[in-house]
Amino acid sequence: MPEETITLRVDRYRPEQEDEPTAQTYEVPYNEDWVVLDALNHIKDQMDGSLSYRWSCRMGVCGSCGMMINGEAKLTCATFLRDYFPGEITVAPLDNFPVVRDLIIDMDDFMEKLVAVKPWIIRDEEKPIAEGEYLQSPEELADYKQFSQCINCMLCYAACPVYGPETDFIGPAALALAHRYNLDSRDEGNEERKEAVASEAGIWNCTFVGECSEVCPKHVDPAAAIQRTKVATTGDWFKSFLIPGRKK
Amino acid sequence: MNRRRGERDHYEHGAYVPTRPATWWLRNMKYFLFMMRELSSVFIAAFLVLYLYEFFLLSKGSDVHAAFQESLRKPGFIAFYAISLVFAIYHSITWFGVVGRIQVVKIGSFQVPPLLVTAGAFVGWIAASAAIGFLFFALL
Amino acid sequence: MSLPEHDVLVVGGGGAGLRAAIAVAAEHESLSVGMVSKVYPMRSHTVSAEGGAAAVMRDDDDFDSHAFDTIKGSDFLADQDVVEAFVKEARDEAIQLEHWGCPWSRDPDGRVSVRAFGGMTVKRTLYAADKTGFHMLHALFQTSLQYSRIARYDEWYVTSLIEDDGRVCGVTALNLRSGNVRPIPAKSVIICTGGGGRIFPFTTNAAIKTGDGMALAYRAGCPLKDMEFVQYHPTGLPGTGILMTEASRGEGGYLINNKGDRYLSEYLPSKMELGPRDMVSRAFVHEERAGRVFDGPYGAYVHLDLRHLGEKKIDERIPFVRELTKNYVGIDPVHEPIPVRPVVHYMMGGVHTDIDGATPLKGLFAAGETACVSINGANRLGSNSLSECLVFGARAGRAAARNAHDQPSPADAMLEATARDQQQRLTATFFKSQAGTERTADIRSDLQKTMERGAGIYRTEEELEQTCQDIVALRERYAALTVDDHSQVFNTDLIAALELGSMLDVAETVAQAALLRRESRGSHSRSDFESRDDERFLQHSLAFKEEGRPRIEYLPATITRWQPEERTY
Repeated sequence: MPEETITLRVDRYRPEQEDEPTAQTYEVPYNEDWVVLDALNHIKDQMDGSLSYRWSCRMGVCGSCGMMINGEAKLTCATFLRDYFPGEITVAPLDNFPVVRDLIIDMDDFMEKLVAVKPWIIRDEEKPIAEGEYLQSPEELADYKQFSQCINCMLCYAACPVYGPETDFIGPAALALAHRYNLDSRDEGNEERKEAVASEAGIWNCTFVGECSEVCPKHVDPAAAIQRTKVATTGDWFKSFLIPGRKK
Repeated sequence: MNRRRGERDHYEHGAYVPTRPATWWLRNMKYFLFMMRELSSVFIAAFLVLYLYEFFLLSKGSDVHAAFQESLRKPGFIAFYAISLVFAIYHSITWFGVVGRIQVVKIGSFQVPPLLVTAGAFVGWIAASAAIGFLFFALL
Repeated sequence: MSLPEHDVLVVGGGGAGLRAAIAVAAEHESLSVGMVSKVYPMRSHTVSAEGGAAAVMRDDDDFDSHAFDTIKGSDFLADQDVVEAFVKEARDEAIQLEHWGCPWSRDPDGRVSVRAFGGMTVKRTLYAADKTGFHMLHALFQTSLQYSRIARYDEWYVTSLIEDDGRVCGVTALNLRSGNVRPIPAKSVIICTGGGGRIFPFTTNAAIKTGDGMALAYRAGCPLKDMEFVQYHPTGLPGTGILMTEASRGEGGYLINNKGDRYLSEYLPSKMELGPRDMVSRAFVHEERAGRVFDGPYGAYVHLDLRHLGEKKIDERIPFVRELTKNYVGIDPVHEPIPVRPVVHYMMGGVHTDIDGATPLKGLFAAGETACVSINGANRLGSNSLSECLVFGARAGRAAARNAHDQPSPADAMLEATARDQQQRLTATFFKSQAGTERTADIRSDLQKTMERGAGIYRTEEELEQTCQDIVALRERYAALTVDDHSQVFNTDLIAALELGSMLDVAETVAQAALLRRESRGSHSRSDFESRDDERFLQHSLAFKEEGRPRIEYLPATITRWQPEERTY
C-alpha cells in the first residue's frame, strides 16, 4: 500500500548563492502524529541536509521554532500536519525579521529590545539573603503571572503590522515583559522603565491591532499588557501634576 | 543593529530584508477588520465636524440652520450618515469589547472576571445611549 | 581581528552557566566575563525542567535530612563532603533567585511553597507551578542582562579548548552566522553545557543535549566520571519522550498497570510513586516482563492517573502537564489517565570536578549536569538538579574568578594558529570534494539503537560489550561522513555532524564504564551482577580518552558521616 505523503513548500535562502529567497518543494511521508517540525527533521535527515532551521525542545517551551506556516506565525513543534493534510503546507521564516539563511531570522534587534525595557527586579534596597524571601501573596503572584509566561518565540513580532515598518518599535513581548516586572510586588522599577516603555517607540507606537495576542502560544496577551500600561502611564501623568509633590 | 556581532567577526553576507506589500492588510480577515476600525475614526470625525457645524449654524438663526438641514437630505449625505452610523456602532462594539481586557477591576484582592467588566461596559453604553435617545425624542 | 580576552569564559548559557556568569560579573567588577553558547540562552534545556528545586527552607527540615536523602538516593556513591556543602548552600541560592524575581509559587502567608518529591523524606522542593526550569532560566537570563559587561557569543559553537603549557587558556569557536572559527582567549573556562541524553533514542532531552562540553573536556585529557549512570525518568510520553513531571506524582498521582493496580506497592511499599527514579523505572521493566503493561504504537506503557486530583489542583499545581497532554496526546488528564513509560532524562556522570567545580586541568571548570562533583552518585533525586546548577554554577564562577587573577595571557600568534588549524580541519573533514558514504542521521540513529539495546535500564556483559564494539564501528563510519551543506552561513548540517562526534565520545564512556562496573548500583542495573558491591565498587569510575576504547580508572567515594546501608524505600 503506497505511503501517504504531504507536500511542504519551504522557503530557502542561501546568501552565497542567491539574492533573495526561493521556494523548494518536498514530498514528506504523512504521519497523523507528526508536527511540522517532524516533517522538517525528516527532510533534513533523509532528503536534504542543507535545510537550516532552529529547534530544540520540541514541546513548546524553548521558543526556538517559530515560523510562518501557510502565512500564520506558529511554533512548528506545536503545529500538526493533520490539520492541513492533504493540502500543501508552506513554511517560511518569521515575518518582519531579516532572513539570515533559509528559515533562520536575525533576532539581534529583539535581543536589544529586551534589554531596553530593563527586565529585572529593580529596588532601592535589597533584603539580605539571610532574612529570607520577599513575601508575596498568591494574589500578588497572580497579578503578573500570565505576563511571565513568554517564551521569547517572537511570533508576536511576526504578527505585528507595526513592527514591520517601524523598526524602532519595542514590540509586544518586550513590553509585556516590562509590564510583568512593573506588576511584580517586589519591583520598584516602574519609573526607570518609562524611558523606554512610555516612549514613542514603546507603548505609544502600538495601535492595538491585537494580532500579537492572537498568535501567542502561551496566552500571555501582550496586547492587553500594552494597553494596560497605556492606561497606567496616562494615569501617572495626570497624577503627577494634579497631586503636587507626589512621590513617584 | 549588529553592533555587538560586528565588533567580533567579519560577515561576508548580509541578511535578506523582505519588503512588505502595500496590500498587507488584505492578507487576512483580522488585519482587514483592524484597518476598518481605523477607517471608522475618519467617518466618525467627519460626522462630528458636520454636527458641530450644525450647532454653529443654530447660532446664526433657525432659517440658516433649516436650510442647512434641507441640504443634508440628499442621498449622498444620507449614505454618508448611514455608513458613519455603522462604523460608529462597529467601533463602539470593538471598543467596549476589549474593556475587560484593558481595565483590571479589583474589589479588595478579588479580581472581577473580565467578561463581567466587559458586560458592565456594554450595559453602561446601552443605558447611556437610551438615556440620550430618550432626552432627544422627549425634547422634540 | 583579534577577540578580546576574557578573565572568565562560560561555555553554555543555561542554569549553571548563567549563574556562574552572574557570580563573576556581580562579585568582581574588574573581571571581564564572556558567555558562549550554541543557542541563545533562553533556549537552553534548563527551560524544560518542570518539577522544582530542592532546598531546606522550613523549620520541620534540616540539612542532615536533605543530605541523607540525597546520599541514600545516590545509592551511597555521592561524595558526602560535597553533599553537605550543597545542602547548606541550596537555600541561599533559592532565596537569591527569588530576590532576582523568580516567580516561585507561594503559600497564603506569602512564603515560598514547597512540595513533596521522589526520595525526599520532607517537603522541600520549591516550585514555580510546573515550569520551574522555565521560570528559573528566564529569571537568571533577565537578571544577567543588567550586567552589560557579560559579553555574549550567541550561536557560537565551541570546537575545542585551547591549551598552553598544561593549562586551558581559551576556546576556539565557530560563529554560526559567518562560518568562521575564531579563538576566544580566556584565563578560566567554565563548561556548563548540560548532559548528553540524545545518545539514546527516547529521551526527555531537547535536540541540543549532545554532550558537547563533556566531549571538549574529554578530548583535552580531562576524565569523565561516573558516566555509566544514566537516569531514566519514569514518566515520559511514549514516542516523543516529552517529560511528565515528577510533581504530578508529588501532588498525588498514581502509576497504574493494565490490571488497574498501583503496582509500585510490590516494589516500593512505603514510598510508592515517590520512590527514587531508578527504582520506579525498574519497576516498569518488571511489569513489562510480566505482561502487565499496555501496548501502544510507540511501545509499552502504563497509566499515570491524575483524575482523583481534581481540575482545580491540576490547574494550580501542574497546569503545564495538562497543556502538554492535551496538545501531544489529545488527552485531558482531568478525565483520562496519561500513557507514560521510562525515558532517558539525566546523566549523573560528567566532567570530573572538585567541590569548587575545578577539573584536573588547570584553568578548566565545570558545573551543572555537565559536571560530576558528585552529589548525585549513582542516582539523582528529582529537584536536586536545578539546585545543583545554582550552587555549583556560583561556586565554579567564583573559583574561576580566583584562578583568573594569577594567569598570564596566552600569545596571540598561538591562538590564531589554533583557530586556523581548527578551520582547516573542519573543511578537510566535512567539506571533502569527494562525497563520503555515510549520513549523519543514519549514524546517529544506529548509535541510539545500540545504546538503548546495551546500555538501557537493564544491562548485561554481552550486550554492553556489543555496544562498545558497535561504537568503534560507528566511529569508522563517522570518518566517512558526508555533509550535504558546504556553505559558510548558518550551516546546521555541519553542526549536527560535530554534535554527532561529541555523542560518540560520550557514548563510548557510558558503555565502557558500564561494562566494567560489575555490580548493580542506583540507575546502573546489571542482570548478571544484581547486587551492590561496596567492597569493589564504592568508587567513581573515571573514563580517559585513549586511541581505542576509553581507559577506566577508579576513585573512592568520599564518606564522612553516613555509612552505606541497604537501600529500601
